[in-house]
Amino acid sequence: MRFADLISGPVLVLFGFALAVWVIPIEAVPGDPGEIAPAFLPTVAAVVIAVLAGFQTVIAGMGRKKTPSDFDGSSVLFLLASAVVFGLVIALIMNFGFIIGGISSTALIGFLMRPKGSERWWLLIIAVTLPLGSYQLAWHGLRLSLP
Amino acid sequence: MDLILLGIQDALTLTTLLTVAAGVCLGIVVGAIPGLNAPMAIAIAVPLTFYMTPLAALAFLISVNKGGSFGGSISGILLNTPGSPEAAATAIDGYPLARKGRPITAMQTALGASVCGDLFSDIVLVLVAAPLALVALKLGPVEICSVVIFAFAMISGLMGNSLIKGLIATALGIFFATIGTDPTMSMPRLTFDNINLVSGIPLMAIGIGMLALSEVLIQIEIYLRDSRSGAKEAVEIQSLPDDRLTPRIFLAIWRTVLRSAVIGTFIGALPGLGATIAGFLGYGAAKRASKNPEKFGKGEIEGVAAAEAANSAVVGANLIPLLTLGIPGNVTSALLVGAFIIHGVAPGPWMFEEHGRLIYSMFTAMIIANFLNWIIGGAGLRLFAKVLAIPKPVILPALVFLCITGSYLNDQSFFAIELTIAFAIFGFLMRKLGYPFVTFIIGFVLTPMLELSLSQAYILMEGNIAALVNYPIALALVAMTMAVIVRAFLRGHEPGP
Repeated sequence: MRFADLISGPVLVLFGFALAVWVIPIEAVPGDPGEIAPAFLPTVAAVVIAVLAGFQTVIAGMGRKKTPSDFDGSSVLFLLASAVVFGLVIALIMNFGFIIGGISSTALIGFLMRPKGSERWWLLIIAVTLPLGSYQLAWHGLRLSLP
Repeated sequence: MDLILLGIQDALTLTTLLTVAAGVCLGIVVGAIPGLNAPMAIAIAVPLTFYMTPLAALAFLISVNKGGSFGGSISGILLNTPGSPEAAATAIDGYPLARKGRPITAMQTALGASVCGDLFSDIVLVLVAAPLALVALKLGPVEICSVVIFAFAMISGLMGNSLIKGLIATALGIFFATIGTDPTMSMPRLTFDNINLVSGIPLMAIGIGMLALSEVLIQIEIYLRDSRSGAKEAVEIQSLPDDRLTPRIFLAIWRTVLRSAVIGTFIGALPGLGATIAGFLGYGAAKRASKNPEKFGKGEIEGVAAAEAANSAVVGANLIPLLTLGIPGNVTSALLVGAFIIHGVAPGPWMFEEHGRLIYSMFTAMIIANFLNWIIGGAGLRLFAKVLAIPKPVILPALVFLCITGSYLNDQSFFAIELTIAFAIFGFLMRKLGYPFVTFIIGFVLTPMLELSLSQAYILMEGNIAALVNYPIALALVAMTMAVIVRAFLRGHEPGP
């Protein structure tokens, strides 16, 4: 975890610091005397994040032993790819609705997982029936219309 | 007494029974699939309960949890891959027992022990919740504020690998919970002029994103990595031999089941400790008490029963802190807070005064759910085992669609979907970097209570922290909080459950 801690620690220090010094004073109104200000709790949280993340960075920096971590370059690549796919999924659903968008996005994610043999047919069946079924369930069961 | 009878009457309707049965089935199926678990199913299912009555909704969600508690053991026993982390201890003896040609005996033992453990903790919940709630109702804002802070310290110290990361995750949860309208001055706070954020971040966007969708992402990554490295993931469930657990064998291990049920109930009642640790403690206690400890790990029925009774006993007991103090002890309880609020019920000790009938009907439904779990689980054992063969490229994309639909149904806006996806990515990062996402969610859920009690306490104490000496309970809780933090630091960063 040392590598992961050395990455996440400074990022969180900056995040907490930016919140406490810059974001919260702009985004939260000052309170009345005798009452707890709206900015109080988020500021405390931001300071706690920054201070503890600083401790974590120092501890990770001083640590000699490397403990196993499953966060590596491939995780970052996977996360970036997932963000792109999710962006596509949102675009498909927003533009074509839950039926067409749902069918295409379910099939897209499934085929990106490289199904083999009969798995492809099962994937196609699920990709078609699930959005259609969900649409009908939302309409008849919950009285809600999915776009 | 009238409330209790009315509650029982409400629960004994066909609608409630069908809802409970559906919840148990869903829970077993989801629990049986490796990588999926009951909290994930609850997160996705909460939006489906909008149009149910509060009783049906709560009974459904609690039944999913009960079914999931047993379902996790199926894949642990048949594949040595626990469906959920809490079933890891069950697999220690369950898998060798299955390899000995007795998979049905192993699963029936797990089912029987799960139902007994769960039933025991439900009975304890029914007996202790009301008296404890009466005591809790006497607590003022200063004490409530101290209880919440103590819960944060305890949960942060017990979950994950390090107290520091637990506290950071809690602080992040608190920060995200403060986005929205400030409760004291009713002014927008941290909304960045986005109208969608004025009412705050919906709990379900966090629940579905961090619990369900981020777990799906993890599973997809594992699948892709395994398929690249050539690791064989294919699961083949052969026809199961026709072995059977006789009542005589099960009754012979009643002491083990009872001991584990007591351990699981105690662990479940404490916020922060989960079913996984209960399962291992129950298993360890059974091994120590056994005349043949050398048989454990080699397919001992007692080992299966001990682990399963203990981890299932956590399910009912977890509701004790929620119903008596309004504090969710684990992630399932945190999601139930969302379900309670959706149905206009604020969870906490006041529920016994304001919604007594609902509470007792919920208790009745919980006890019914145990029996239905036993009946449905027993009858469909072979069928439920078949869900293990569903290929990942079919189930995981379907779950992504269900998560997106669930988050849309919750808020009926595309913004909710965007938030869900953002929290899925955030949750993925938290898991990978070793930050306990459970403490994040509990921090998020408890912040409104913390902020309200804090502002009331501030007024009561006139801003003078020294006035805390007039509140001995709060003072003791503050001291306990300090003790928990200092102890956790002194113990170093030992791996948690």
